[in-house]
Amino acid sequence: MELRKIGYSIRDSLMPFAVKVNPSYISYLSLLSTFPILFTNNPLYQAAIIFFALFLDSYDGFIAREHKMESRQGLVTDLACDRYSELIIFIKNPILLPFVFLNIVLSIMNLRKGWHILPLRHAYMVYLVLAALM
Amino acid sequence: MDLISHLFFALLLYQRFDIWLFIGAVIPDIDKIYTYPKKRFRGAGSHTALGELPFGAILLLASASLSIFYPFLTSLTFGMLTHMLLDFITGETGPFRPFATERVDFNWPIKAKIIIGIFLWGAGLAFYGGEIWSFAKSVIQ
Repeated sequence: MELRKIGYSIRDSLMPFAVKVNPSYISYLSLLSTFPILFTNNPLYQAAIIFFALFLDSYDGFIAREHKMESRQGLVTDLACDRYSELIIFIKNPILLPFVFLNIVLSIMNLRKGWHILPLRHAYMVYLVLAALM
Repeated sequence: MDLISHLFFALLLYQRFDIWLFIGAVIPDIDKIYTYPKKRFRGAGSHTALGELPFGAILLLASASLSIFYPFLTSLTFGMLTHMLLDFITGETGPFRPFATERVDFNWPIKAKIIIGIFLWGAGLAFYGGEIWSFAKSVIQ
């Protein structure tokens, strides 16, 4: 739990400002922002799309914490948006789908027992950048 | 959303006409198709667990794995995913049902849903109307 708090404080310090909107809408925007990945095969563009989605994904948590709007409903929305976003990203790479499924199981365990979730999109973004550079 | 919107949404994201895509886009609502003639709906936005993440992902995983041997399953998988996505975006769903009971709803006003539907129908027909028409003609003949 301490590690998670440290992670949050580092991420929050990087955020520019907290707009007062429903954080669920930001989660939703994060999901929608992943859609363009279906229309490009360029790894750099794909990495940029994932980066933007990840930024919004962090931003919703930041807004919720800043404006004291944290709720279980918000957590479920955030987790569901993240899993759908992963499904969109990995649907073209069926070999990675088992990891998405694992993350769905971990999300359920997160809701029940606070388990951590694999940073799949982060890892894939790094992979895409490396693939584009090499 | 209605079935036609699901079909067009799948088509717009897949960017290629494929009958298996259509079948995939319909599968998560299989219970609704069954209830159509009897006019016995289980309520707006109702779903079987097939249309939610845990069981939906099992179906996706199974069909994606088998797509190595049966390539048509790629379109089927994609269709199923787009169905789950559109329902999640526009309707009330319980994404982790039956393992978590919380429901998610973005509370779109009905006008917004109609606009989304019109957009999907319009864009789908504009981009793929010709292909759908020629497919329908070939089936009829």
